Amino acid sequence: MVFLCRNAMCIRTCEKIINDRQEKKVDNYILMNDMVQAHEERMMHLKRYYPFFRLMDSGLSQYRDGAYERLDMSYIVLAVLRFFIEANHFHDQPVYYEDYRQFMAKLLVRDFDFTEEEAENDELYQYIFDKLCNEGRPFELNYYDPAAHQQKMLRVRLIESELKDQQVLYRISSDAVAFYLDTKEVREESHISVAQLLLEKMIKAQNFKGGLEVIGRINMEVGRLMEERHEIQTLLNRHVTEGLKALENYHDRLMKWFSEEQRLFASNMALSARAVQKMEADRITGEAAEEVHRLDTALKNAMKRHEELMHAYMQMQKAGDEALAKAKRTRFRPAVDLIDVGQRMIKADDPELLTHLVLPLMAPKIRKTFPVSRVDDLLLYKPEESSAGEPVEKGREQMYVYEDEVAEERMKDNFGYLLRVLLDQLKQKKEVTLAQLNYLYAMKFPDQVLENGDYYAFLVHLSQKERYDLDTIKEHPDTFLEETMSEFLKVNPGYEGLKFRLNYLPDETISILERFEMSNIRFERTEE
Amino acid sequence: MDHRNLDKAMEIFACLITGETVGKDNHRDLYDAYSSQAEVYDILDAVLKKSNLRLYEYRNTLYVTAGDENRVFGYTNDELKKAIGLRLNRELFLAYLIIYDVMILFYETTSGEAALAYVKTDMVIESTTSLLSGVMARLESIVQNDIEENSFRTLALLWDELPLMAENDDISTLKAARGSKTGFIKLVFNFLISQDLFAESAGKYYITDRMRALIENYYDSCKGRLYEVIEQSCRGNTEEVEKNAAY
Repeated sequence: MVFLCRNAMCIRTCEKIINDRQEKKVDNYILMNDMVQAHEERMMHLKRYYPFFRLMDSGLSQYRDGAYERLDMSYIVLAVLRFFIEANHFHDQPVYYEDYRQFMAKLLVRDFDFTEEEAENDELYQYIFDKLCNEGRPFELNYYDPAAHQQKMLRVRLIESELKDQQVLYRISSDAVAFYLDTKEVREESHISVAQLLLEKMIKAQNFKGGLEVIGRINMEVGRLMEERHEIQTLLNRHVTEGLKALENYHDRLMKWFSEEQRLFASNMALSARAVQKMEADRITGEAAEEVHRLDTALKNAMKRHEELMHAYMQMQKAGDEALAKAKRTRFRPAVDLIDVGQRMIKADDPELLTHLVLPLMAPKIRKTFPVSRVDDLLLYKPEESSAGEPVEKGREQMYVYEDEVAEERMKDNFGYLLRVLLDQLKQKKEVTLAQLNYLYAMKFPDQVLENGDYYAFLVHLSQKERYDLDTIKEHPDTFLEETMSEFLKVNPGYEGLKFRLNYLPDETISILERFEMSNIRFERTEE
Repeated sequence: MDHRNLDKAMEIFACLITGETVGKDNHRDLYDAYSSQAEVYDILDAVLKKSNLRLYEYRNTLYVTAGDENRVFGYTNDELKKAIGLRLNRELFLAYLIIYDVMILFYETTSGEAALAYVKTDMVIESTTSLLSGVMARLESIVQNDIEENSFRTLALLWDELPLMAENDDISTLKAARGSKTGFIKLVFNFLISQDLFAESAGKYYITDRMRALIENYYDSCKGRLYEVIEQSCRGNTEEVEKNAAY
């Protein structure tokens, strides 16, 4: 536009008008860009909030005529998401349905004052879980894209399921983690960097406990990025173009922030190491020292996980290249529209055609026949060989005990029993004979005691000396029997000062079980 | 030809036809031999072709299925009736229809999996009913002869006659049987589990990687043949109608 003006004042006015118009144009461009071009991006960001409000809206009012309406769905959703984050990202474990059930049972009792009996409601847990999983379907958010002039749909899940070894494992989706973080954090910056800066402040302020919490949040974010990587990997297998788009987006964010995050990690590691050094130099112990050590270890682990994330990303890039190459190879192969095939079969009105759709799914049929050579096996068949042996579990050797050590232990144990009877008799009476002792042994212990080898060993050991002074023996045992006696006396007080001697009576013979014969012995308590 | 490669190829073949999976998680040495040694790949390919078996690779695992009209490894309708626990042809075709219905719940086209994670019995009952109710309405105008043994209308009538649940049956102790819609679906699902196409957990049925591998690959490679068979059947029907009209 040309303005023909004569004086300077007028020229300035014209310039102003032109500038104003240009500014308006720029403003208008920004406005339009924000409204139209950025709309899709905004909807992509909003989609992660959608399931939460859908679940909140429906709640439990439909279930059992609103009997459980008091259960607040918004709290339950956030609590379950936090539980999943704890298991999936902090402990790197998948969640089984039973884990969720136990968590919910505790939650209902603790937070909604359910009785233990009320909490035994499996149907309710299943209902809530189905709601969270949206009956296996993703939550679908329809919106209009003004840039493309078309209706679009966004899909989002809170919980992903996976079948592994015939068991269903559940994991929280990256959108759900991002949503959970959004409820308390700020986006558009690397969560890790923000948390690192916070951590730096905390270490400097010596708030190590708070630092540990921040590291927990860093781990959560790393876990979310890991989960996102996993989802992109799955997407690459299914829709290569969408997968590559997501991979590019992931790459931009990860690369933009990674070096900065690593630098902050290194600086915080140095701070943490200094804190450990200072604490050791000042000889600080107790809870404070433990907190510093815990923080140091947690930080090292978080850094390791962060590096693992980069490694996993590199692997995924390779997978992305492979998926692209594969897609190029197969791009000319058109897919079969199964619904169209079904409609054509119905139109042909020949259900037998379904055979062509269903039979290919079956595993190869194997017909087992009896090989004639197995007749030989029948003739040589030994029944005992077929009986299953007792399974022996493999154990780890912790210590080894020799056989003689086992025998020694057993003898000491048995000598203790025999000795107690002898000493009790000597305490009560002045003397006791072997014949009387044998009678008492047979009464107190099982009948076989007089056939027991340890009994005879006891007598042989006892006959090695003629006199026994228990006080001396307790302090200075001389023989194997005295060693046993010493151990016995240490744990069984009450025999202090007892002394006795053995008088052999060769003329008196004792017959034991009409099989053995031995000379009688008289045990006499003595004062010296 | 290297004998070691022949051994490896035959070992893979033996594993596959006996229902074992060969992949990165199971029989890894065999899978590595298959993917890295061209001769092993070639021998296995030749043996499978001669046996009329088709091999598919999905997520680093190999799956095999019998090709068209394979008399050795393929099932006949009678064998499948026995395996599923059915007596009549129309029951078998209804079972096929339910399997097809499950397929389209997970996959609308073979190029990408639908977003559904699992199915439940009631979901399949609902979608089979809606599939067959459409058939009933459409066939009123299309089919001109009376109800035949092998027609979709027969299947629709059979399905319609089945009660939702058998009398005295409780949903928690529900048996797989031909007497009710739920029992029938369960019968089919049990068969799919036995074929390693389905896995069940707490009343939810998930499709396995084997099923994904076959759906995403088999029909694409046999697309021409599939449409040809349908066209032939259509032509056959039209000719019969014309013949009847001429008489």
